[in-house]
Amino acid sequence: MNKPIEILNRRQLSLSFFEKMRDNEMIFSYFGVLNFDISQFIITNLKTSLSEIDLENRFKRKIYSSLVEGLENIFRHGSETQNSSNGIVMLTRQSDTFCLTLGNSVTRAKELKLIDGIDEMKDESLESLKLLYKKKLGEADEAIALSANLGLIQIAINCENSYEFHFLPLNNSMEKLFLFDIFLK
Amino acid sequence: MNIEATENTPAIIFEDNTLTIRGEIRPENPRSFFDPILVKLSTISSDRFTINCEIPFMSSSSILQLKRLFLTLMKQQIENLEVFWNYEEDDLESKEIGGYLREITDIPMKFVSQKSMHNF
Repeated sequence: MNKPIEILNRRQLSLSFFEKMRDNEMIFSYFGVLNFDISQFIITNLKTSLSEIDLENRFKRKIYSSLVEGLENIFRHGSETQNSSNGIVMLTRQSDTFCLTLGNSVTRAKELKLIDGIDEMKDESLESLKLLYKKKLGEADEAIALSANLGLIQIAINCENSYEFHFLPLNNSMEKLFLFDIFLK
Repeated sequence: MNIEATENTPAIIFEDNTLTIRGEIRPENPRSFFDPILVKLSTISSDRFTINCEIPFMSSSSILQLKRLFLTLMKQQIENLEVFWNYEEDDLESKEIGGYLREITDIPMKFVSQKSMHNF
């Protein structure tokens, strides 16, 4: 499932969100400014939502971990041109599968870095992803921890490499919207 | 030096040659959070020290800081150094992360299964 798709225009993007809301049970959604304080608010809210769902704790932990790592990734790879960039956070459910959608604007340099990170994990089995995580953890210099991509690998472990990503052009901007759909079941 | 827990940072309790880390670890800047703890640890003169980790969740960037903390302690060559890694009984991922840290840093670690640690 981890394949980039063709660029969509704004209308198609809106339609795809509408369809997602129509066809799935919406658990949580946010669109707006994303900074650290707002991310904490989102995490607390999601935690409350999860506590109200009848689901194994093991599974709740995967969703929670993916959200926290995904939000950290947004700060790491977020817009350099604004202090707080806009972002999208959405959690939907269709029968036994949860979809966590995260979106934020990224520069071309960060787009390439994300593609490199995702390429490294592509088609890897769960065991190989865990070995990659351990290797990166061992090698990473904690002073420049942000380059280790551990968060992305953790997300891939949580969803067993079941995700899609899209880089969509933004009007009047050199940046693109990075949309990351993480499927957890 | 003790630090109270917040929603995204753990309680840090130094008591009788024991450091307890209790709570979630996902601070805005993990390095800044851990820096003063490492300064405090660098002053340990005892030949016995225990770390009690009761961490229901930590972000990957925080796990890197725990690695830094364990490596700092290992450099001090404390004779009786031990980590107790508490994890919720069905949270094998947490146990796995503890195992990675033990292997990478060589720190003596014991795993302790707990009935419940997470507040979902």
